[in-house]
Amino acid sequence: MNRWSFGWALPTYSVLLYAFLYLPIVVIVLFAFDAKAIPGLPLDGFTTGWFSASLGDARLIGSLLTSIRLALLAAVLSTALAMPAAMVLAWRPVRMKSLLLCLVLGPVVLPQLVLGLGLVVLFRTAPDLIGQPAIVLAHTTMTSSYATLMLYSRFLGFRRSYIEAAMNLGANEFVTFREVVLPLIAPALIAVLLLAFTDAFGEFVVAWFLAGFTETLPIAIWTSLRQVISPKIYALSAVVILATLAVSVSAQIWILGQSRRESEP
Amino acid sequence: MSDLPPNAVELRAVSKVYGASTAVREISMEIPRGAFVTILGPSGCGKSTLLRMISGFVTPSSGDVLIDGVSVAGATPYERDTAMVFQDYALFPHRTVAQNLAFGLRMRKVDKAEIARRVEAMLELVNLKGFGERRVSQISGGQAQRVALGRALIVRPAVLLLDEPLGALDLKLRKQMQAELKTIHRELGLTFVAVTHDQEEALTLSDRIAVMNSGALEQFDTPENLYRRPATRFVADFVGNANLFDAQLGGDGRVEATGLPLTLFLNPAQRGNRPAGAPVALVVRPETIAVGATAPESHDGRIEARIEEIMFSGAVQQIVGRLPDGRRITAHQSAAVPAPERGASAVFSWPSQSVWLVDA
Repeated sequence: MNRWSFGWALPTYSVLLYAFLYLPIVVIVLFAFDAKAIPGLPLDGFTTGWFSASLGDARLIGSLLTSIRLALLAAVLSTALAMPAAMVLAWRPVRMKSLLLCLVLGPVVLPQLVLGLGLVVLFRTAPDLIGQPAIVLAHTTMTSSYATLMLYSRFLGFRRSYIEAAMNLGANEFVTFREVVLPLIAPALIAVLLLAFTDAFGEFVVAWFLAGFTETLPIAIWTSLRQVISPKIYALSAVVILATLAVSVSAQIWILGQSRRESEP
Repeated sequence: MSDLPPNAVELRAVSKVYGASTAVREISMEIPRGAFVTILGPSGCGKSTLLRMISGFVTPSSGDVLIDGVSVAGATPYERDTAMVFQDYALFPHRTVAQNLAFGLRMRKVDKAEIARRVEAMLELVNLKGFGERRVSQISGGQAQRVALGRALIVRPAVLLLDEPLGALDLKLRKQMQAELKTIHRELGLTFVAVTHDQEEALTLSDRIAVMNSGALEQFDTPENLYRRPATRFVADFVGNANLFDAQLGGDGRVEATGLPLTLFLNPAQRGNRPAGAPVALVVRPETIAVGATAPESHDGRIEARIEEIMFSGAVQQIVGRLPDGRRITAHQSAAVPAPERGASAVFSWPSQSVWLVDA
């Protein structure tokens, strides 16, 4: 055993891997605190001024709020669409199920550019929807496909005898869903909601095609990229990144706790 | 109580057909109120399907199911007065033991104080006092079994259904739970219908046993009748151990075993109303057979065999002999009686009135 133990190799590898993954984020956080007006090395001096400046930038904050609102809508919509679809696919005898599952996957494998172009053409028939409604609809389409697949595998693993036990004890379909199905799949639903939200929140390409005069945060950042990037953007990004990390880490911990609770003998 | 019909459950020619295969074939059965009935059969014989037709999870292709004298055809599971103990228990993992027990009462809109009282009483009945606030992931398999039983019993159903209730427990726990089940059944006076593939469990627990084989009901009778007077060759073979010899019925009560030097004379009750020349099989239970150098006077069924194996198992020793035609014969004899040597020739003998006939 001793001869083959490269005790130092695994930790080194891990550190390098995580450095590679998180270095871009570190750079953003670093420049958010740098005093220079035009970001670049070497660092100049420490300031928290950019944070208050970005909070004072009405246009930037407006785009952030728009993004949060639209992503929330898309996440809720796609989860609401995906859940019944996943239940039917997992629990009902469906003809040509594999074909259906492949079709569900379509929006995920389709290049976003193609999807965006297609949607532009499609929305010509309903030009009034261009802007926020179109963005929400497009993001719902994109996120509901993997939301369906994720929930599908959760429902496949769901013990049918829980449902039968509830019905056997006098619960009708609705009550069984409320009392047994919903509490047990809640962790999966929340995971799907969070994933859909973050995906819709950061999606740029398709939103860009359909935005009209709407400005989401990625669009606002992209627009400002064409001039000089202000450190305000780094400050705002740092806040967003830390908030996202905090939410996803606490969600992960909660979900792990839930699934431990469910895995009984 | 008096206006309820005598049968808690009645099956009228129920069948279940899945495509080309028939899971249950025209079964009719009357389950008396307060009885402990077991449906026994090898796996895949349709016994679970039959149970699920009573609970409403499977709709019969034809025939009718009556609970308390009322047809439940078209009634959903939650409209039926049945409660089931599932094979995997199906305890709700997001609820405590007490909440699991209370579920059925809550669904029946029983008021809170009454629920609390009955949950407490049920915890006591199933020996789980003080476990009410435990999560179901924090209890053992045997305890989970009791919770599952309690959760079904607490609603006092017209019929309690048990799907292989003890299948997941180890042998010792199973024996203990068998005794507890029987006590609970006697104390509560409810109708129990259980499904099992374990014939010993069926014999121990039930007042009546329904033996099923490939979708059909072979015999529905008391454990003793199943054992002593099996209706078919399958029942004779499946319930308990049996030596089966193909034979032919003669005119005067004579029965000659096919290919063996064995002739018996049976009384009319044993023969039934079978015509002379009918192909039959002799059922000889191992415990009726004596093995020795000579046969006792009263044992008129006798055949010689070479001792092949002697297996000691406490009070009883199992003696396996090889017959002249190459088949085996098994005897169970008290271990107090000295057994012949392995390899020696011995006489296996039994009284002809202990023999039973089934159609070949």
